[in-house]
Amino acid sequence: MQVTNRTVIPFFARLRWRLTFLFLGIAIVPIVIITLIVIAQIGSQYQAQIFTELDAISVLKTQQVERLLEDGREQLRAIAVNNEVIAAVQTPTSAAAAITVIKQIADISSNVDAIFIYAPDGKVVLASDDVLLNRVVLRQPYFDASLTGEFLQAPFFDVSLQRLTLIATNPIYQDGDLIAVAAIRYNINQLDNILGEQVGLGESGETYLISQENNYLLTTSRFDGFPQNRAYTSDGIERALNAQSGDALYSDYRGIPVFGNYHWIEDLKSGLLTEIDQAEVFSVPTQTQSIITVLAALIAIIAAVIGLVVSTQITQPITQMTITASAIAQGKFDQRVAYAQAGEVGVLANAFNDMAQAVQERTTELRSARDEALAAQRIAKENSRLKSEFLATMSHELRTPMNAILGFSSIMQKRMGGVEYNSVTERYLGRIHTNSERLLSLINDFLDLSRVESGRMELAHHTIVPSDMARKWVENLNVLAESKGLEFKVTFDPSLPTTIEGDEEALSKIAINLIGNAIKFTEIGSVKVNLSKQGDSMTIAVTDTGIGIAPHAREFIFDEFRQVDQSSKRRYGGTGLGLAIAQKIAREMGGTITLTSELGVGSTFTVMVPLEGIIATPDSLVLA
Amino acid sequence: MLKIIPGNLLKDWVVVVVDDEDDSLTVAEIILMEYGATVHTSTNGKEGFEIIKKAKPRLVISDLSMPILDGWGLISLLKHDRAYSEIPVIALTAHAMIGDRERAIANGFHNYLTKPLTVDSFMDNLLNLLLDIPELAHHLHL
Repeated sequence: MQVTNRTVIPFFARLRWRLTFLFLGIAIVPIVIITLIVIAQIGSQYQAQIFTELDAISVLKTQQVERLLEDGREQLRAIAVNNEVIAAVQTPTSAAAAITVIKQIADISSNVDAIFIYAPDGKVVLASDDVLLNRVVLRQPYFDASLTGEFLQAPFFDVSLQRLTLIATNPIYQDGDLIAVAAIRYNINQLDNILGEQVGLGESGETYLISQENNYLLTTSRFDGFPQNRAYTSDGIERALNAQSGDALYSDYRGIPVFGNYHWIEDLKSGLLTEIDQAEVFSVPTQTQSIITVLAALIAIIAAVIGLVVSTQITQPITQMTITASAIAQGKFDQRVAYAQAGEVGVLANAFNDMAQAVQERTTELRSARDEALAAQRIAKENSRLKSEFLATMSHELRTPMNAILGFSSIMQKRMGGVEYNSVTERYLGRIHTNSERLLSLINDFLDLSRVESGRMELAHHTIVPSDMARKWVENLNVLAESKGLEFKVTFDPSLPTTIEGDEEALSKIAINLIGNAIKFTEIGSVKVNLSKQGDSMTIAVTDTGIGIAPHAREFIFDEFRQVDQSSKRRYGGTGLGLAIAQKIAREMGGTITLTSELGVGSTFTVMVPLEGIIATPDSLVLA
Repeated sequence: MLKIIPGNLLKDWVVVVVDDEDDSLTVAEIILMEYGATVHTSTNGKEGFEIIKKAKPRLVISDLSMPILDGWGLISLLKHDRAYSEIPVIALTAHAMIGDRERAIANGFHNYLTKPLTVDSFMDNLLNLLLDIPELAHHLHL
């Protein structure tokens, strides 16, 4: 049996990997999508949270700034109603106590840089800092407004200080008359203190105030290289200085992308900006994001492992079955799938094993049956050969004495050798001779049959002249036909060639057997032989007007030792071998003998022998 | 269709018959002598060849299967010796096997006779054969 080797399946066509990748695909695609959505949502939530935080910080810082401003105003109010201050304003000579008060306040309050009081004409009459005494603030931006009531001067650039300055004023009245204005210069550095606190603002967070005045920074930048007295701008700054509040993503004054909260503080005519670098926000992945990513990776790995395990479980028995099937195909019928598993695969494996068992059993049965058949065939062949050999040997051995008996009886009949006989001994001698001839003919038939059966008959081929051949038949059998008073005639169809190729003795043996039979079984009438050519065959038809053959007998008439019945055998004699021999020789030549018969009317035996069949055998060989 | 064969048909003929079966030999000898021939017999090819050399027969009849030297060996010896190659030799065998005639003729036998050697069949066939051999036919006393 030809068995193709196990097919090598391309890697990606293997069920195991296809299943694994399928599982991975099913697991990973949604996980990735969900993870991305969650991460994006968390990102935007985080962003919103950042903005909220920024806003909270902004509100807090605004409150602190406002408290600072209010704190200054409170102090101003206190100063404005301070008797010693009023007294000092009215009588500058008794200013010492007031100055002490002012200095004390200025010293105590970290929000205050300086306190000064000026007369309505603009001349500073009292000051916590002596430098300010006698200065005239007439041209200062807050001067006019300060005469009418409480006033907070938005930051402005103080040329003498070379920096932004924040002033609050409060008029001092005496009996309803304006006698002076109290003013404080806020400690701008205190804004830095307030805004510089980095609580909740990470590494890059910054809160700063930017003034409408020249877009200068009111607080110091926490980054190097950004002095206060320079005009700065950004989306956030522009919006804040346009008195808008809100938050946005933009690039700050440094040009760095930030999350920003902008808030307009009217009192200060400034924007409060709370910003944090986007880089920092994005660089710190939230814990949730990390957890989700790790979880997703874990699920993917688990999915892959499950896929691999499941597909291995599915494919392993299949692979094993494939291996086993190949082994069985190669003749190892005892192979089984050693795999016990519940479910369809287990059922399949069991069914496979059952099938393998059945195949093994059937194969064993078939083999033993075949072996038995072969053995029987061998024995039959051997028996047949032994039978033929026995027949041949026996016939040969019997023939030698028979020849002697015939030879001597013929001599005696011819009264040769100087022997004298009376009529009785002569008659008995005749019986001996006749029976010897019959016995010899029987022996010769055995010999012929055994030769044909053992396949030791080899056909010769030489040129035959059919008319000469038929003449010999007539010579051979005419005496017998004449003795029974039968018409015996051989005719030739014009279709028959004048010469043919073949084995004359074999053809003659067939013909003489058939004609001899016909004469034997015909009492009245004729035996006619016709030779013709039909197609590629030569036909010898022997027609008699004899007793005919019953239909049931036509089946076995060609079998050895068979005549129509036992009585026929007794009546007509013969061995019943003639037809068997004739048919076997005809078959050996590739031909047939057919029979048509009608009881009481006669029979026709027709021999058809292919002409090329007669020619075919190239060698004229001797029988062994 | 028995022909009447004259009793002196083979007068003055010297015939050598070689056959390992004594009975066959005797039958052939009696029949041939009955028709006037001088018959020498031998039971194997080797002895037969010696007899042929001495007797210088007009005709040799030889069995094919024999001990010591069979008919095929004898015909080979005769055909290879110029002195005897012209003597017609007729093969004699127990049974006409299909193909034997061709082989015998191919090996130098003139023709072929089958046993049993009954008077009628033997003489009838022999006469037919002898008539086909011109150098012998005119020696027949018909």
